Amino acid sequence: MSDDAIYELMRREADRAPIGDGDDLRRGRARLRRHRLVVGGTGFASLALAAALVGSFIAGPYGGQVASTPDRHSAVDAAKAAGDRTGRAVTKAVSEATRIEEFGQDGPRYGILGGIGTGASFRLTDVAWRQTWHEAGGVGLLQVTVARPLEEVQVPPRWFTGCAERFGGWLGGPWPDTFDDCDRRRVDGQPLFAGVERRSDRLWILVKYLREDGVVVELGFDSPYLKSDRPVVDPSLTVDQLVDVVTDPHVRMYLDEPLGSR
Amino acid sequence: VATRAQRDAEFTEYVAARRKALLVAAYFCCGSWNHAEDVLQNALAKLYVAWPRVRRRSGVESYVRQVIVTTAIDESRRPWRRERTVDAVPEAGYEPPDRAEWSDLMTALAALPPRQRQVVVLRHWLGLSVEETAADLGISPGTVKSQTAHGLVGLRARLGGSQATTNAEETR
Repeated sequence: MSDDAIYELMRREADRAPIGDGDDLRRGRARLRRHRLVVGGTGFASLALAAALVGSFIAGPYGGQVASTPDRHSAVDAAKAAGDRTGRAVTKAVSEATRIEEFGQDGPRYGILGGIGTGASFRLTDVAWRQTWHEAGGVGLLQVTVARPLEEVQVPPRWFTGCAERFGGWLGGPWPDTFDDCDRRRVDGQPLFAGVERRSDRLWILVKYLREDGVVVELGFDSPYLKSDRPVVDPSLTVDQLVDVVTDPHVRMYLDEPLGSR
Repeated sequence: VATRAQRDAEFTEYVAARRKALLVAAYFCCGSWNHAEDVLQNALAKLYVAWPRVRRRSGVESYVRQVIVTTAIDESRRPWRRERTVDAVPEAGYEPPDRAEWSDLMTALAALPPRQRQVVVLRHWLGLSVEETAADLGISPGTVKSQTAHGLVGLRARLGGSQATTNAEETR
């Protein structure tokens, strides 16, 4: 039995979930009553929850957002943490410090750290973020990965042929191996892949760029935020916007030592 | 500083988008829809109170996941959950209320040790990476990988498959 088959069993099981539009509100109110009976005036959490859930049925859509620029200071901290040679220290430093700026927002918000890779040497090799994408009442997901080369930079032939391309970022969610619609081109002399795959109620966009120094920047859009009830299947963002992000030199890891110096 | 209205809007947006996935995650952990609903309500109440703090730290999803997967399993071990007062001594031991309706998947999940169940739910239902799962559960990535592998072997054995293969992501 494959992993996909196990996931499919889980998805079918989830279809039995007893949940409807009014369920949370009803339960929140019932909980509030119980909580009042039990703890008297200390039921703030339940009260707040019930009040908040009332609003869930009138909540309006958020505007769209575009990602992403890692913060220089935080990345330096991450590199210092990598020098600690403990995976836990690296994880802590990156998760506390890494941020992704959202264009069009009042200020930077923190992205959701997807994970980091340090390899056997405990040197920082790749960093990944998740970033929610709110649009038209739905929640989609942007996933960004920046990976530096472990060995001498070589450009494999697959960068230039066909629509078969994997999201090398190791963040969650099934990703297609091939894309219905794809474009391979060069930006500043370096190869770039952009692919779009649409299947019924799901949309994937993958943009992948190989820089001259061997760093690979990937940006993937997945229509649901994990298993969001409201996928964003027609986002307002464009492939060109995502290309601008992956080719932006500011999207990078800041390391305290040059590549290949180990 | 976010106003109460902004906070409520953000919170309700989050709950609207995530409630089903989180409820199902709780169900996979505890095996009872009623219990899962209680666990989710508790988790959301805690989340609302902690919202400004966890929102600043970008840990909303991680926070609520941790509450759900730990309480869904831990509460089933506590005496007031485990013990039942009855008029007569029952012929059979206590069974979770939804057990009669369990599917093969739920039976297989329930047979896993708690830690393996948590890891499988986080990785295969909520789609977390090894590192995210490790951070949520406060264990090492290596432990996540081994627990995932053991959990999947157990699931496959009980679901009729004997393939003990793991995909590339699991081995990272």
